[in-house]
Amino acid sequence: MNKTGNLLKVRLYLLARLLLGGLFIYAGVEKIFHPADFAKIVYNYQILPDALVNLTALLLPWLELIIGICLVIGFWMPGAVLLANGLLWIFFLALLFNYYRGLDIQCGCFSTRLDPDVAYRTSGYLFRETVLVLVAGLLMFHQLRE
Amino acid sequence: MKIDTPHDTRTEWIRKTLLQAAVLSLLAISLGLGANHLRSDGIPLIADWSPGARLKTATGDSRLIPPNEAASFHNTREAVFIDARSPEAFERGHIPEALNIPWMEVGQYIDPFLNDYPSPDTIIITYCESETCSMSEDLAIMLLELGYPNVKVLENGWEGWLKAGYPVDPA
Repeated sequence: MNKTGNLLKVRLYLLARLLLGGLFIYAGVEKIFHPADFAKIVYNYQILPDALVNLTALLLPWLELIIGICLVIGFWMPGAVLLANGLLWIFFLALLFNYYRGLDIQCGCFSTRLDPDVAYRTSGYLFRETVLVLVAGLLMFHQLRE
Repeated sequence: MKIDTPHDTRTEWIRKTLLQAAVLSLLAISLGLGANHLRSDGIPLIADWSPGARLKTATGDSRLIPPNEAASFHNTREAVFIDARSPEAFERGHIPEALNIPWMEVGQYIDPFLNDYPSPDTIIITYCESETCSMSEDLAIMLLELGYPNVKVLENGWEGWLKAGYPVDPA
């Protein structure tokens, strides 16, 4: 392995870490501030039983925030990266499931507010989610090689 | 003397990773429950998400209208039906003469409606896909706030209407 190749890899890894960590923090904080709105979004996904809707809406944002902080500061990376991968896969499958059901839902990924002027569609969310799953996969791969 | 084999390191790594993930999850649970307990606008841990509970009016009456009642409003053309689903879903099939105001793009679609139906006495019945979708409720709440007190939400939505065998467009 040559030196420049290694340096590039290290930089790419750092970039992926900061990008994903930043997104997780942003997504978590937004939802922590609006638990009732986020609960409604979780309900609209129509996947969880009613009894788990509010609990999910309360706990998920904190988990996102904690994972995000770990990724950014590089603390407990293996655990944080594992959780990040798990969450992103769950989000991805939930979106995919509703895409196939033909359900037109609000993503609620980064915002609990409804933006009526932006005609977001589940397919658009799916694409974004795929990219995030790939970035998280890259981090996981790096962790496994360490 | 014990020698570290690659197998041991791998097991150790998996153990460490799972432990970290578990501790981080527990931390999230404590913070989530704790913060909700402390804040003034906390939400109940378990809530009633049934359509009836979601749609209680201030007086405690339900805003839901069962399909058979809605159908008689449809027969007499007394009510304006509003389909809150996406234009694609609307194209595939809707209640005849219903207007399409997709909740996701409500900002673009609401103005023509307000111009065409300025009377606050207009009887409006909103609907979306099925019992559990909430776009019809969101739209109903918005219309209430815009000054239409006679807004109802079709129980079980488009699915209920279809199942009951009422007229649809395209037939």
